[in-house]
Amino acid sequence: MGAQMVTVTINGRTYHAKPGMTILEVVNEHGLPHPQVCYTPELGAIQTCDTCIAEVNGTLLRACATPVEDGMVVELGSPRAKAAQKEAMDRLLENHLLYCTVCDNNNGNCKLHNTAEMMQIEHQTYPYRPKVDPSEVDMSHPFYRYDPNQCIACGQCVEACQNLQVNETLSIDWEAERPRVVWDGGVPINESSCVSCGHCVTVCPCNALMEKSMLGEAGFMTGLDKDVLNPMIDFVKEVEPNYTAIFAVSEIEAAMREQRIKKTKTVCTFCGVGCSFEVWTKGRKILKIQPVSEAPVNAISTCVKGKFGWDFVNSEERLTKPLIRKGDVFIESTWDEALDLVAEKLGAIKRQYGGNAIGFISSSKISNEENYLMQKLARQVFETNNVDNCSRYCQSPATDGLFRTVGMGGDSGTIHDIASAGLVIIIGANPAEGHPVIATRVKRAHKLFGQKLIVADLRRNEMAERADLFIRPKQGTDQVWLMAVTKYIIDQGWHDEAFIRERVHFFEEFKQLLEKYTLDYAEQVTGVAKADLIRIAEMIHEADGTCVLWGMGVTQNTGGSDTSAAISNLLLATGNYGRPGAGAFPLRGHNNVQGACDMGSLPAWLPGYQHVTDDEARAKFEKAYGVRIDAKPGLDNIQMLEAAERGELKAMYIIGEDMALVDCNANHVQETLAKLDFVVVQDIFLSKTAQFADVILPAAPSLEKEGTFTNTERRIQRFYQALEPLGDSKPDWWIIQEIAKRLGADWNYAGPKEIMDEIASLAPLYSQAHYDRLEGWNSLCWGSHDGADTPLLYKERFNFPDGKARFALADWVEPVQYPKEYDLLVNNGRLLEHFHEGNLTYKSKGIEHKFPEVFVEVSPELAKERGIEDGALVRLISPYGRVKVRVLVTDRVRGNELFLPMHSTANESAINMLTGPQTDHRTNTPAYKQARVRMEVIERSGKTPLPRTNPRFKKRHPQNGVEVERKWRRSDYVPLTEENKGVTIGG
Amino acid sequence: MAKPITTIQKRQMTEEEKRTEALAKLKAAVGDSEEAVRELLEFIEQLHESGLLEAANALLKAREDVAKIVVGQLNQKPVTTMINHAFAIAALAASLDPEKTAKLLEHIAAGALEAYEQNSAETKKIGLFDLLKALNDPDINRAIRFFLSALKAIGKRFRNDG
Repeated sequence: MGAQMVTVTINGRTYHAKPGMTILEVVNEHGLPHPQVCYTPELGAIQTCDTCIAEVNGTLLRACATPVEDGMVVELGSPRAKAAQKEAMDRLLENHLLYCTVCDNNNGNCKLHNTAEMMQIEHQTYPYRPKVDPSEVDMSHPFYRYDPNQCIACGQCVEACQNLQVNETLSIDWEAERPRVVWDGGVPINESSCVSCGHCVTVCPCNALMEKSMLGEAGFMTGLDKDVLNPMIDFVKEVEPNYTAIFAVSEIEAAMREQRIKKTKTVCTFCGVGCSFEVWTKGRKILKIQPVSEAPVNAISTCVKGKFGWDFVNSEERLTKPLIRKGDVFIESTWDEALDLVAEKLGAIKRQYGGNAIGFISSSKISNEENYLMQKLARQVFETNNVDNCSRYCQSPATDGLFRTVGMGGDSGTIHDIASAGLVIIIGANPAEGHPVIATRVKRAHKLFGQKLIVADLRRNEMAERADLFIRPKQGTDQVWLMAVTKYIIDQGWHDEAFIRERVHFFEEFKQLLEKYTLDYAEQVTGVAKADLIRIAEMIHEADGTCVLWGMGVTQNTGGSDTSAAISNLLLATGNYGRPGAGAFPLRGHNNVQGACDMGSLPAWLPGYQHVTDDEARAKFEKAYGVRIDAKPGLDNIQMLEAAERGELKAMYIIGEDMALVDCNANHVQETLAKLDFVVVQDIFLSKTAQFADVILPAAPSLEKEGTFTNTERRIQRFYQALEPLGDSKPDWWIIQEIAKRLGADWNYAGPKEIMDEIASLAPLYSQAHYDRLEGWNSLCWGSHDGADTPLLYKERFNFPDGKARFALADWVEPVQYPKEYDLLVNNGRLLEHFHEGNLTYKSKGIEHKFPEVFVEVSPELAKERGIEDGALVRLISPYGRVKVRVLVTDRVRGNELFLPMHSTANESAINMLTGPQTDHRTNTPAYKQARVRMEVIERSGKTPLPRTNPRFKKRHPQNGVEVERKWRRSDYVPLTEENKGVTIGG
Repeated sequence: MAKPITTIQKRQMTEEEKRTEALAKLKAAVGDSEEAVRELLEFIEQLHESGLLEAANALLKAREDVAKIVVGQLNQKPVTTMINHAFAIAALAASLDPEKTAKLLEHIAAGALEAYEQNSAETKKIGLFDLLKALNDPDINRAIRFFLSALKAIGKRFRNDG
């Protein structure tokens, strides 16, 4: 190790560094102050600002772009270096007016301000010159603004948009007289292909790009009327004291802001990626989301929901008082009244019919601690295993497929493995919209680092557009092509024989099973050309590490579990487990799907995946809980509803799950809910499900409490309380505890920390997940039975007693057949802007502006055939129900395939009015994706349901990052570095 | 059996109930920090008696207008010029060696005082001959040399300004 290090001298001191590091990386690692306005580690050296110039072996070079070499002598502060830095900074400041004290970005973290101060800039050599008329400040976008007159044209926003988010909207017009940032070559931001991910605003080193929610709010004087503020800025300009004086005043003001603005670490709740960031609040106002480099999953990345989608927290529609059904209305009540009633009714049902007459549905949105308490309430207080969570609707098949083959139900690696894989295969998932930050890593690796991408989907989504190979297998046939590709790989001898021999059982049986899955058979069943199947096999064979990402397009099928197992089989056969840059990644849809399952909110599993049939595990919990635990698994979501229909289940307690809309065959679910004797719903809004409740308990969302979530990588992360619970709402853990106490349980948790300590004592996988270990940005990926941090699973052994994996032996399951009249397949899923049915995200004005209502995507062919256009109103009718929606004609779908996003809070347009009762044959997960309908046209044309300002209508403008070379080619650019010393410098 | 309901009947708290609830919260808060509240009351009493409270209240109520006036005044050329002067003088003062400056000022002050006293005693008119004779006085000679050097130094700076 030591021998590989290089030695450099910086400012006369010796430092050791890893080869390949840049001077700036070494400088930053050792905390040496040095200007670097355009440098953000996540973006790398973009070399636009010249402020980091240092004298390297006597030559002026950019520290950000110069790799260290052994024996190198670096002077950061020699007179020549300083002069170059000063000149670079002067060039920047010509574009920017330092009115810091009255600027909303003066919060102690303004990079431009801090750099000018560090460099002790006293005056600017080139006077500030505005680039455009102040009326050209772009305020068009709902979430952020761009002020060209403050923009220093450093291009970090462009680099982030082009090469990190890879949405490819922003560029710098380097050839303009005064270069500035432009959107799609020069349209208003709101008219561009911008997807509102917020990367550009986050990396902006000054106030050129700002969240609108900050404007006039952050500073003590920034909210002043224009007729006071503008003269004030003029005053500062006119007086033009040396900057030291300005900085001193602005420092004081920034320090005052610190007192008023609260910055709280939180974990996002809009998908399973597990982004963490700071939320800045002033009173109850959410000023902004501030991503930080320390965040272990996303670093500075976000999507529109995580960055801008939090309005729901302060929505007028939040439930703030317990509600009790009386006749045809809900009456507001006190907590005592509501909790007493819940305890009395549920207690009576337990006494009369037994605990098994009650079903508990926990939530993938609430914390681990809360999920744990929910299953404890079921198992200890009501002595039933009837507890489940919404992963039943989405992820159980993936978990099942992994349990059978490799032994643990979770992603086998982390986002870093996905980013570093040689090949990524995405099957039945649309991460660009459903898991946007994971998608950024794939898009970046694909654009910059030669990663290959295969997409298998019905719908030509963004990832499909970007893929090297895009296949469209017939709905529900993925397992067939997966097995055919596996067979072909084995037939070619491309499988990893040593890996299989040493680490996997049942290879012979597996080979036999594959006999039938020839390329011809696969082509005939799936419709995918043989050549494409061969190409897939070749790409896996050639790749240095393959990651497979899959989603609901796989799991929500009658054969969802077996298809998931087939993916795992393929990875086992090719040795793509237990090594970096490879593995299985079922993309968890909600922030805590993983955690809800980990916590044993499952009918067959105790916390930490200890099966209820395991006598030893059960004994441990029986001892801890002081009750007998049934060795028979309880009812899952679907079975609960069936039991309710039979009259066996009398009551349900449902937390945060709008099952009346998100369960399949929603009509039927709503009828069943109406039949129950007693329904308790705990939620933050009056959801469709809550409307059926007898008692509604107002809960508090993540920003109003503390706890932990576990993301798709199995990463456990803490979130902290940023706000007080709104009105009388309460954290879920408090509510569950109050119910338990009223039923005689001796629970006295002072807070989530104590609950986690109990979890750690009972679930070995979580045994090290104590709060102090998870402090701040620290996190832990579970995966070892001693509770140790295990980002990469299966390095030495698979999770079976003998440490060996198993090929799962299952034939493919044919999709559900429908009568001929149902001639259209109605695919369904998520789009970027909204979360789930939309109870949260429709509360955001900005999101609603971009995506106000749900629609059905119809292919141009079908539209032509039926004589309809954009905006037409159609009725879709399945054997189970009907919906009425407007049409969006798009070639993302083809032929007789429709796409109806799930983002509807109304029965009239909810996809699950159409879906049927068929489920995955192993896990009971609804086969949502196998829905068929017929279509009736109500109006042939109408107003398009998606505003033209939605980015889906726009064309991206890809380019090679910020393209600084174009700046250097400008005739007025005088180089400050001396890369070409001796070549071009003649005199 | 249970039909979906979308109507919430808010429990309308009477004004009396609201007041009672607010008072209860307040009472609890006061109880928690009795000492501090007592001190605060005393402080307010003092402010009131001195009339400061009234003045501050008036200022606060008129804050937008006052801000406009203040900024307006500040933005006038003489004011910004004066502030710039202040900055310039401050900068000059910051660059001088305070020990030397102190000595110089001390000499000038002491000299001036002595001169004042002598001046009030002497009433005779100074003629040209007196002036030339005075050059021979070593003290006067030293002072003249100081002023000549100063003139030379300033003149040199003017030349550099070109």
